[in-house]
Amino acid sequence: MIIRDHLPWVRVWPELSQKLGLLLMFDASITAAYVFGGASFLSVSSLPLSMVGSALSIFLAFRTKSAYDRWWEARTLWGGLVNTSRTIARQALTLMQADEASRELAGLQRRLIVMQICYVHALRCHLRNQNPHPELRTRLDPETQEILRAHKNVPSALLLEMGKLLRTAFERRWLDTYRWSAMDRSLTELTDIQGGCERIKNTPLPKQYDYFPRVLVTFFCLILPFGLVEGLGLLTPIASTSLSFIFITLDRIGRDIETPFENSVHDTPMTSLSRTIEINLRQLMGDTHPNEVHPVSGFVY
Amino acid sequence: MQRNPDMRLLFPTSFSDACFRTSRAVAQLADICGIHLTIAHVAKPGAATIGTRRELDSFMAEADHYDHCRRVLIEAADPVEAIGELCDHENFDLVLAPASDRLGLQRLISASTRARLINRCKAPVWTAGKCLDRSLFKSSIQTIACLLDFDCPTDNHLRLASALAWRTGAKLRVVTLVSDADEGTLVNSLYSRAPLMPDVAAAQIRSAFVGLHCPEVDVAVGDAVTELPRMLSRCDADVAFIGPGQALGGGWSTRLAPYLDRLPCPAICVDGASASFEGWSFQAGDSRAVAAHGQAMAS
Repeated sequence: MIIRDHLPWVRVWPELSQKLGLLLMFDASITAAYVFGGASFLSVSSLPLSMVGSALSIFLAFRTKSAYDRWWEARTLWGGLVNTSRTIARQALTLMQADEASRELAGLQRRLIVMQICYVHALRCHLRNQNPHPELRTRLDPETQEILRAHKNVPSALLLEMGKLLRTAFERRWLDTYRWSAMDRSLTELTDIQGGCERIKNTPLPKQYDYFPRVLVTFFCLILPFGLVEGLGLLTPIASTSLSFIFITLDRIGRDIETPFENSVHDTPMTSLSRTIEINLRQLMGDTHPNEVHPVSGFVY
Repeated sequence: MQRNPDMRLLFPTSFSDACFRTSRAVAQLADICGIHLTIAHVAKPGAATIGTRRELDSFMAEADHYDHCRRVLIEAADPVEAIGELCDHENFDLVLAPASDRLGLQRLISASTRARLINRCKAPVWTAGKCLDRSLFKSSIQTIACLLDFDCPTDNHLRLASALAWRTGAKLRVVTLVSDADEGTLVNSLYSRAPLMPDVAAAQIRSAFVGLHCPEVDVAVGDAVTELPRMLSRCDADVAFIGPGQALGGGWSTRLAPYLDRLPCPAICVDGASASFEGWSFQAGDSRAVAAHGQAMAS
């Protein structure tokens, strides 16, 4: 996620700067042919251009809104994940009770919370197509790691292991039926959040939304100097490239934010959020915790 | 699969987007081989502030939970020289350098940072261009390709490729290119030991492995820019080893070979490598591969 005020073009939109450079050259050549070469046939009426521009603006605004909805839903789901993680930790520490102080119960509570921390990191890796095992190695026992390695969907497998821990707590009478049910609902919430994230990840915007705006924007940018050259003369390249910049940027913004789990600067800041969750949960357990994740060059990952 | 000894990885970062995306490759190597990771950032003299240190600590934050990870902040005017000196002091097995070179006009007039790193560092350099987004970085490496050049003076890249294949249980494939032969290019045969016909090249490589486990051999006709990416896609390579003299292109400034960023998988360039390669764990099988390679070169 970008949090800096000024966006470095070559960093955020490297292809945008290249495209604008090419358009500037194209516009300059049309202008030169018209003004100095006497090619008056290059001028067309600007009326159809303004109509096409208006229609294209509506199309692009609609597409950007759809893309933003996906980006915001991803962020909302991860906000829900933060809340549910805290809930699970609180429930583990307060709802599970033994008749007398039990080291086994304390161990199970700790294990459940550590698994929740692992779940968050595993979900981040799952969504970014990253191998989660090196991170889990230092947090989980070898036996659980072996179990997880057999699964393609590691976060789901972790939820199953957490469910098994809850059943153990029920069987040992550390949880009654109502409390077990309440804690299991929290696991179900995690499943829903994961399902929502996977839906966004695996279902792209319809390809028509991606293809046609790009083609239409390119077409519009190419015909733009023909409509402006008669009125603006030598100023055409500047005016045409500036107008093209608006349309290309609108198109680009939509395409950047429509995929919030794709390892780019436009991602939902999952590394930062998962670290926040870890800090919160370890504090609840009274553990030492890692440092917060700060923005790197104005980007939070 | 063997886990020890861990590979010592150096990951110099400019905090670019490409560096961030490289974290998937680091995670893959950490899981498959086990790594001692060093993340280094070179700041200009006087620019290594608390803020820079904080950025370095926050970059690839997940690595804090790897078995071994440390972060090094260096102040130096020339980043490549600083990284080179770090490599001289500590024997790294691999240096990670994704394609985050300068863009636009600067790219045309300045030398490639990666090319300079390949030249300067004693360790092999891992790099990835367009494949950084598309590559899957699977949980296991299944196919390792090694680009064989009949004129190559050393066999380090074949040694490393076979060592990694042995270590990960992956399949090793030897790939080579034969130039288009016509009357104009026949003169090349005066200076090159490379066969002119693909069948001859394949037979020559296979004959060198007689009595040994022969890797699969792929030969294509044409230039590296178009044919090598196709060939690596066909054999579904997860990583390609590039030998000395093959990773750097010609020209008036130090530049990478143009095919390198088009490869469908990451490449490990063994150009200037003269390190001890302790982390690669050479085994008896590697020696045989090397012997076979030597035989192929001699024939």
